[in-house]
Amino acid sequence: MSALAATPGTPGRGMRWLALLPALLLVTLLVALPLVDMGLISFKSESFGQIQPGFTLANYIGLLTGAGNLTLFVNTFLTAAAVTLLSALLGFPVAAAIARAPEKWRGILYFLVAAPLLVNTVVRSYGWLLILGRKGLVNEALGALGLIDAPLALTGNYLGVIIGGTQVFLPFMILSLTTSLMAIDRRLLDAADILGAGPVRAFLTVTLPLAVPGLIAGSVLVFSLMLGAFVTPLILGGTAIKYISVAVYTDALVLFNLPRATAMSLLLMVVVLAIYFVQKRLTRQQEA
Amino acid sequence: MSTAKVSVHQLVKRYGATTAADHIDLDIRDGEFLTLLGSSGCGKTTLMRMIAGLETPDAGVITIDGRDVTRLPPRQRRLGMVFQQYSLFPHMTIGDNIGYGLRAQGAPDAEIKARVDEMLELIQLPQLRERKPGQLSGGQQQRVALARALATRPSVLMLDEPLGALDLKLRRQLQAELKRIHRETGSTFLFVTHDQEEALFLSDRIAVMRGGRIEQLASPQDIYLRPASEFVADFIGDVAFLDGDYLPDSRSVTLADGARIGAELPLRAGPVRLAVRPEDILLAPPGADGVAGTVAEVSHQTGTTLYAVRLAGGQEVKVRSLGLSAEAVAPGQAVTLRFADCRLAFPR
Amino acid sequence: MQTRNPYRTLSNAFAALVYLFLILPLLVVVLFSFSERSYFSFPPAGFSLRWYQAAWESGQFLVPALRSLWLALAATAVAAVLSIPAALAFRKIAPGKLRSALEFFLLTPLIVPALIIGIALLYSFNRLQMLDTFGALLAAHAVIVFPFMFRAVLTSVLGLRQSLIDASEILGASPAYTLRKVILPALIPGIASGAIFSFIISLDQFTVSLFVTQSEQIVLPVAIYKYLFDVNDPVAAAVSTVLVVFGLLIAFVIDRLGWLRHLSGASA
Repeated sequence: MSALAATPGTPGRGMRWLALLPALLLVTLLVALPLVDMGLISFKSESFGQIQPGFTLANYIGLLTGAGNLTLFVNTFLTAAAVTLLSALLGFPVAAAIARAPEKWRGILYFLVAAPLLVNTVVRSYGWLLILGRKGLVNEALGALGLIDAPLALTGNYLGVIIGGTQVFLPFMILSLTTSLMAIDRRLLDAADILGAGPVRAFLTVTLPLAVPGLIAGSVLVFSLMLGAFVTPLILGGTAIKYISVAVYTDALVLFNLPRATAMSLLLMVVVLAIYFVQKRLTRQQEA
Repeated sequence: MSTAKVSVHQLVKRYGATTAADHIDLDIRDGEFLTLLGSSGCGKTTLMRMIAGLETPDAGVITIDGRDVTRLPPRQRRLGMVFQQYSLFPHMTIGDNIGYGLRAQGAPDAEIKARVDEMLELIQLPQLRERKPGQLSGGQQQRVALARALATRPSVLMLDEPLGALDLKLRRQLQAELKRIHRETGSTFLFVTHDQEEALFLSDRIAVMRGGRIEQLASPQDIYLRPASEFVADFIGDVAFLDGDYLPDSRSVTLADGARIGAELPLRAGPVRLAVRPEDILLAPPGADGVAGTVAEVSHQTGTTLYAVRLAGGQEVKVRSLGLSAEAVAPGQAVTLRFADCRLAFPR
Repeated sequence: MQTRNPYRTLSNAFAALVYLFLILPLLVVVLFSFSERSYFSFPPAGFSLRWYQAAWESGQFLVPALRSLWLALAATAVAAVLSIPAALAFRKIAPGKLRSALEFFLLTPLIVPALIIGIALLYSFNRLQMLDTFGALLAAHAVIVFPFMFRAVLTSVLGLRQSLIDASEILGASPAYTLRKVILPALIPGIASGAIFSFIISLDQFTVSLFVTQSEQIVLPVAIYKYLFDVNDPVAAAVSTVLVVFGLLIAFVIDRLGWLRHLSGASA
């Protein structure tokens, strides 16, 4: 029925798979195989930068039991959770504003939310350095107003990472929430109004429950993106904080402990994938 | 027949449990306008697509111009096709659309230009050569599709419900166009439709299809006047079926309620089902000679009035009278029906 | 009719603040790049273009910038060349488990965090002695932008009208001719939108580039980062501003063409 299907006389299924082959090869060679390789490394040990032969579970055991490592995981998760929470709180009013806005304004509002996504994260984090640094915007302003004596430490710690991370991933939350909010039938709110519900009550009983799917989708997205985030923790947190991605980087490129780095990465990836599948299952149930 | 333009022999096509083509045999004569007529699901489109090469039959043989094309791809069958959804190439001009086939086959530019001019003349739209399909109306697009299909001088031109998306008036216009173009080019046309009036108007022969089989293949007149089965009789035009007993000696059929209708049938005595067309019945005042009945419904159509009359035995019969009735015959009124001698019946 | 005016104005005011929050770092960088002084001060002091001049003259950024541009173009091209036949083949596979699995597989670079891809490629390229080569960089970027291109092209491909292709076949065109004259022109919107996305994604890509190239073949984002490590003057801001303008320009183009909404599905 087409240039690539099995009409009489045309090459059929073989051609189809041939056309898929380069793409499959690309992903296999550059993602699948390296990941498998990496998986294998995580079961090895190293010494003086060289990979030793033989398999061991030491890396994983160390990661899951070592006290320092536990802090690492907990801090990463808490930071990601904080970013998610902040994104939800900050994102809701914006999403509501977009959903309520008249048609001609919506385009610009969307643009202002989505445009930052296309700017390099290094640049964005750099901007935060300028704002939150010791000689940065916030400290200079507060100092000039005489509110503080010494500069506040807003970078090189979790606070900076949370602020920066929120700015990076907030658009995803907003876009997700907006979709949900725009799907709410206005007449439901009118009905609540007629029934005598005040604005707060209407919000709690009508708007919020119907926005939950978008909220969940957005939260899952932001959480898993933040878990895997690298640039923001690196630039705004540096080596002072415990964040998985930074630890992986340090292990791999500074300490040359590839096995431990890969073990950590794999654990991280398992979590991210698990979240992804859970979210897919949830959205599928929703559509049913 | 080896002299047929297109010959289909014992064609079979199944989709899972459904049989779309059930051992179909069909010969299409050179230069004729043959229509495949049926409701959706009867297999007419499947049959056309198999002849076109867009579907592969499970069994059977397809010959075009004496060549066995069953295993050949569409581009080697030298056919033309007009689809219901236009399918003009949206990014090319009308001229390029029409010339597409010749260009794809490597014809020289001069020849392509001449042929495109010729086709534009045929469909009477030479001024649209440089436009794009999006700028044309539905009717114009279909004419261009026709020109594009004919440009390559196909053995057969196939049309898959090409007028289905147009409104009534436009459809009538294009039906007349089609008939004219068919006559002028002398090509063989294979037409698919579910609209019986369209089929009756356009075709030299009609193949009425049902359930993957051809119920009857005949000229429009034969299909209408001499339907081969109750299905065909019911499918084309209005028909009322009256059950009764045929008595050849008295040349009449006695209905259940005792009424008698004159009939001359090529059947033996016994139970029959009469097929009566509305134009074979006359409305007469009650008490006159004929079959008694009561008017159930009156509906006005363009140019005629249609009465649904219920007979004593409970059957309902449709009667058509020309013009809008001068005397108002209202529902509930008693009337007499005068039947012309019935010539069409099926044994029960 | 609006009985919740006070809450609404409050909410809108808050939303405006959030918008400011989103734009703030970009604003600051741009402002800093024009600063007179070499350290950050607020309120901004003076206006000068010398940092741009310094960036241009330093040679530290020119080569990486050109490399980034060239890389983005090449990665996009590779992704396009691989996506088009793959998407066309996809169209012929019936929707079902196989197709979903294949689709998931081809979209994995989207789901796996860039950090992990970076590490994995670091190790693999190291073993192949390919580390810090342009080829390795190109391969990495190609696989990262591929899902964006593939998704855009696939949407176009699935929207192809079969009757157009049938018509072309019946008119006598060979499959290659049909591909050239009917199918590819219809795919242009999808290819274009995929290309624009891929281009900017590659340009902005930092993490994997950092892992895969250490010193020889660095790209612009990595160059900026390295500079931040050593010095803290507005030169980095100047270069960054160029990237910001670039990003916003492309966002504007995408918005005009109506594809901005696709971004929200970035990871879905």
